[in-house]
Amino acid sequence: MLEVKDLTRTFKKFTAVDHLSFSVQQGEIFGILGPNGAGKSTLMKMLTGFLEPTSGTATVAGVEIRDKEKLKRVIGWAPQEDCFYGKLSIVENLQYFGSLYGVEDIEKRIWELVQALGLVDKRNALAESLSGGMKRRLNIALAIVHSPKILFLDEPTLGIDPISRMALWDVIKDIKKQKITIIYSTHYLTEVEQLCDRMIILRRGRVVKEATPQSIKKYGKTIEEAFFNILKNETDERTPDAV
Amino acid sequence: MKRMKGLQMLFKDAKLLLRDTKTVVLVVVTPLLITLILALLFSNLSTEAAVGNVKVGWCDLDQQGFSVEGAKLKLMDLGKNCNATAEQMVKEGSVAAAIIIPKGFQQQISEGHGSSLQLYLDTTQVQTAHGISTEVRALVEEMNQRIGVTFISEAWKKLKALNDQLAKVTDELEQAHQTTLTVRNQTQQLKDYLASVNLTQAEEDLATANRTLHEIQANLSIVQQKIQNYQLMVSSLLQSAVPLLNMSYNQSCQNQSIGCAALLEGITVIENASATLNNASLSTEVQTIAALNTTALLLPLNAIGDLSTAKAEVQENLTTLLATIDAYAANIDAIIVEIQGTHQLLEQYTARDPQYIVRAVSVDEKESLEQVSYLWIMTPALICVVLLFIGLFISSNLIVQERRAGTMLRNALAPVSLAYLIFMKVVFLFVLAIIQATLIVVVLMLFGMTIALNIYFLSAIAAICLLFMVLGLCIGCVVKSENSALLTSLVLALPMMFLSGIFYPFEMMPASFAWIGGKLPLTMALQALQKGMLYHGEDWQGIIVMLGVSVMLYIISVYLVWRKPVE
Ligand SMILES: Nc1ncnc2c1ncn2[C@@H]1O[C@H](COP(=O)(O)OP(=O)(O)OP(=O)(O)O)[C@@H](O)[C@H]1O
Ligand SMILES: [Mg+2]
Repeated sequence: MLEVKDLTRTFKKFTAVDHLSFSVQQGEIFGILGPNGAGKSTLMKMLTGFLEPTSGTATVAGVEIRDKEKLKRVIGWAPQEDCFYGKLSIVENLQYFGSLYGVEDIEKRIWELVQALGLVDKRNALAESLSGGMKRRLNIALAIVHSPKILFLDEPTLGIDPISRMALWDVIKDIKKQKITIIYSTHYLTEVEQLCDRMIILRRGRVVKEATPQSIKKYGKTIEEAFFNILKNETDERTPDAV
Repeated sequence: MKRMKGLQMLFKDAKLLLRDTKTVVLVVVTPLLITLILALLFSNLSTEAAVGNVKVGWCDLDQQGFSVEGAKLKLMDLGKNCNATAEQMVKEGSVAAAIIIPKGFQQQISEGHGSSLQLYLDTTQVQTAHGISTEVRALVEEMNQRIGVTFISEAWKKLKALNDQLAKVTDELEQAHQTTLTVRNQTQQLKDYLASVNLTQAEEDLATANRTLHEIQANLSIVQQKIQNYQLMVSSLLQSAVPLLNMSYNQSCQNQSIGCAALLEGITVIENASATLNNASLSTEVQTIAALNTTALLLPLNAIGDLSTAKAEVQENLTTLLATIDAYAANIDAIIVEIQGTHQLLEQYTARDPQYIVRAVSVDEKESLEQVSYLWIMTPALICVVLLFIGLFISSNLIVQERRAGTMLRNALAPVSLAYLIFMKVVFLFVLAIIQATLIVVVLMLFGMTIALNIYFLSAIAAICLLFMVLGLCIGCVVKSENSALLTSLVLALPMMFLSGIFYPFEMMPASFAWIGGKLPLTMALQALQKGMLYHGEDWQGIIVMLGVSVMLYIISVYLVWRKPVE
């Protein structure tokens, strides 16, 4: 479903993503774990066609990422920051972006989405008036309004409380059931443990570890400890970023 | 499907706009308000009022009660010794100008030397200074005219009286001439008679002759008296006219008007006439006649024996007398001709209006736009400036907002081309601009401006709306925040305004600035509108250029967004 090969991106002299290679199977939730500045968002921008890779290739659902028009059809992307019209309601936002994709029977699709994402009560409220958690959900709903084959979620739980976070996990599991492959970036270990089938740990643009939630446990008693140990090994060679 | 998407985009933008009170105010209220305020200002703006409202210092050093009646100036008396104060006050800006009447001003004028007022101007107030200067110059010119006209009118009155008397003199001279002819005929008859007379009858006839001679003598002395009187009178009249004319010449001919030459010529003619009259040898002839010893003719009847000698003597005397009378008649004729010539010339001169001698040429200003208000002249500029400012603000903000909210990214994610997306933005903004233009035009029409909504005007307005909106869009694509959009719009719009020829004509600017100014979007817009509204012409080429520039800016905008859909 997703093949990444030697993907590299440099900003001037700084390399944000450094020869990354990995692959994701269809229907997986694939975690990209890493501290701030690890290059998660940069990677996602490249995979969604928003950033030209400096070198390397990647194919998303069989589409080369430089073939942007085709790529648009198969991907959904919920960026790290909320991207919707604050002055439009949830339904209106979905309607508008759905129409851009030419979604058939848009009303039905919107109803499905607001139900699945628990936005029914607030569906006619202006987006700017929603709570943080609701906004994150709307952001995800907008990313899947056109039923993409692969969904990129960039830190979807950023800045929301634990209860809402758990509710969001359910939403994501629901999406998985729709056979949508999900690429999920986060710096919370618990999330990967709960959601992901497989993951990579990124640091300074490089893959530190490719693992499953189970295999990572051998590095420590808790997943936090394991993560810490893995990163510590890495810092032996290079000075660390702030985590 | 694509059209549906376009409609959705427009629909969405309209919804967003309506839910954003600030922008609605900007789109609808601001053009109304700005147009209203500027229209009110422009329709009541006048340099005349400005000149009438600013304080002008009045410094009369002459203290002869000279005043500028009829001046539309608000004068402020600065007292007696105000020479230095006046200048100081103008420099401090406490008065807009100061008029100084120098010492001896009135006297200099009445003595025919002329004098000059002094005018200090506060040149920082360009328009007011110009207005005051024009006003004072007009006053001085009027004053000059008044003084000149008074002098010449006075002279003309006297010359007219003189001329009337000259006419009478001519009549009298004609009579004298007539009388002289009678005398001549009588003398001729007498001479003929004498030639044919036989001496026997002579005695009787001598008596008759004696009587006739007496009559002739009496007549001649009357004529002599009359002629002497008239000669005296005419020459004194002419002599009195000469200095008078000289004085009016000195008074009114400082400006070398065309009338002056004529006046000078008149003076010469009159001087000549006067000389001729004085030199006329009339009196000599008359005296000769008077001196004729007529008594010698009165021979005693008893001395008939000497008659034949006497007869010969008489005949000889009569011949002399005839010649003298002939010369005398010729002289009278010459004088009549001379006087008639003078009379005609005087008539010609006095028929002239003194006003046109003093001011032979005047300027009759014809404005190209008759009877139009300042507001009308400013209307194209007003439409363009309001559209420019609001257009730039709204359209630059629209793009910045989309990019900042990340919605531009979402739109770019969807399978629609950016070019199409931006194009629909242009359409949306264009519709907004047209609404604004309509509001502006409506307000201007409420102020009584009759704007012809013809094809050219509508096309020009449409091109202008498009141009400004795309320009704003382009700004929005370059900058990163609402604030910098606002600032950039200002930084572009303000110089455009000052370089567009609205405030200063291009001719006043340095060549390079004028060149740049002529190429700016606002100038293009302004010139296209002015062509249609003020000059009743059409500048389709200008409209096409605006469309071309719009397309160029649109392509640049698309490129900028394509290169970087998000910040
Ligand atoms: N446009 C850019 N120009 C220069 N440097 C950039 C740019 N975008 C990202 N970077 C740098 O690339 C590195 C990776 O950034 P990225 O946003 O991918 O990190 P991240 O893993 O998403 O971090 P976070 O968890 O904070 O979101 C950072 O050090 C960042 O400063
Ligand atoms: Mg990130």
